[in-house]
Amino acid sequence: MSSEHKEQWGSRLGVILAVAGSAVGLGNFLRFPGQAAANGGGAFLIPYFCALLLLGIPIGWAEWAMGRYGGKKGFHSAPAIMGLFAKGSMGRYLGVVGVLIPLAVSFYYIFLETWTFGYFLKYLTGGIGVPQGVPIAEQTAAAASFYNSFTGASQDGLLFTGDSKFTIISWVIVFAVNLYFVFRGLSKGIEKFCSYAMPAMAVCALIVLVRVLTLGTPDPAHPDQSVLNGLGYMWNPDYSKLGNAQTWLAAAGQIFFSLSVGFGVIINYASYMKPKDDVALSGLTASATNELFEVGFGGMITLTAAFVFLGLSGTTAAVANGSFSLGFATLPVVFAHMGAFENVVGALWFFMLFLAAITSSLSMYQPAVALMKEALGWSHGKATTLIAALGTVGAVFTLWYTQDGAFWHTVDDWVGTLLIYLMAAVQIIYFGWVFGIDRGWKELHSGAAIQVPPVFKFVMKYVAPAYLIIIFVAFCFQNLGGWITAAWATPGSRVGVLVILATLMFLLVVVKIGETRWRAQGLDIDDTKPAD
Amino acid sequence: MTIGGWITMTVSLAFVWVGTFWCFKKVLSAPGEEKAPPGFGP
Repeated sequence: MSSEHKEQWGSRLGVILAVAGSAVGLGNFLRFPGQAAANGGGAFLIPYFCALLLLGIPIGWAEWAMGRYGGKKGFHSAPAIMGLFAKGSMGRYLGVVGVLIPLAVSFYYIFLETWTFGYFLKYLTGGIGVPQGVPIAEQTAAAASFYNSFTGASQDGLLFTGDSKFTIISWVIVFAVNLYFVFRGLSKGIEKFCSYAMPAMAVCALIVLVRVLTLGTPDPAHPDQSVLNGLGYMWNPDYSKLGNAQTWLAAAGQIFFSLSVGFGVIINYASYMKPKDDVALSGLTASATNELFEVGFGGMITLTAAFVFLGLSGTTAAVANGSFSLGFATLPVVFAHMGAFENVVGALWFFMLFLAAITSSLSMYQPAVALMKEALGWSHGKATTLIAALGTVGAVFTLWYTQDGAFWHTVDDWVGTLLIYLMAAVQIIYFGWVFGIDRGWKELHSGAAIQVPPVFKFVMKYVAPAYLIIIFVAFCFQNLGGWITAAWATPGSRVGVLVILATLMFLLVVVKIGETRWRAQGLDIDDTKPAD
Repeated sequence: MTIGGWITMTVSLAFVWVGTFWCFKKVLSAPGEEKAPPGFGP
């Protein structure tokens, strides 16, 4: 291809940690426990693990195999790779979604990452101002006040026009760190960072977990608010919820978004593997790592800590207020009850969330950078500069339209949620039905370090697409009406829609240019010849 | 915490911890990665 040199991963472990880092994000620690507690506690894990085995892992395997196959043909962008599997232009244009998702999500995700970094800095330097020894209502009000001020949730433009520029300064630092590692490239930047960040995140999580599990019953006046009862809040099973379709939908949705399948990153990352590198065990290991952080840490830490200090009603209210309120407005109240450890645990917690967020955000530019390089024939530096400029424009909208998070909620709903279903459905259908499941199975096992049980061949061809289509239709039925109304309701949401459309149009034009260029170069863009 | 809670928690944690260790053990014990032959690369 036209890039100045062929990019590759430095090691098998490196690509696994990079993909796992992309998957492990804020949702593992904040969204998962809330979903589980609201949908049957321990019973939620039954549909959750079913979705993991029948949906998440099989679609992930397909994506890994597709990516590596694309790499064998010299392609690294989702549009080019999807064109191979669809044997035509339709796949290339649908593949644009695999670049749009990570790029558009990066516009707001770095803002969320800024929250974790800003909170971390605050806890390093004395906390966010939640007073100790006062009623919980006062502490909650103080935490909510800081949260609203830091995120600019009360008014558009507040982060630029308000007295404090702390959020903007934090964002600049976070954005610069991201750009530094993306500019350094795949192996020297993303892989190297993830190879340190993932173990560091595990160590932070272990320390916080040990601290939470040793809290005992800190308030003798409330003997029911103990660690055991906190674990019970999360894990006691309510099997009656299994008869509710909503529980199964919530479990499938959680698995789906947590593993980052259909996000456009795995297909891109796998394309940088060597032709005979294993993808079966690598895909499984990346998924397992994500599950360890989600169930093993997220399921043990967040709600247990909240319950011990806030009790049943306080924790239930925190869960009802959503993931971000739980992480950034409720947990600071919990930390305020930890006495001398408040700032240490707070700093560790938000540093851990920052690592979870940055290992995800680092993956979001690479698919777009790859597309610019191979479609326009640009160098890595030039392509990264363009994507950085686009990221800056997107971020400015995110930082300005902060009222109730309308801008980023709109992008998150339409791109970070809906289009992921679409991308995953298109991928698994092309893999199992157009490329052919027999050929796909052979591709998955080329160089494989494990033999995938044959039943998964059936799962990948029939069960996963059917499962995905069912939850996609149900999801649309539940949410689309409200989203359409909300999309045009405020200036922030309207700008969100326009930014999505403008980014989509730009990427479609780039793919059109690339398609013309690839044909002129005589590349096998419709996969008429088998790969080596 | 009920007995059901203990069971679901223990089984779930065992599943993710053992699964992850098994995967990493396989990855680290798998045959060495292919290396570029001498004379190739920068």
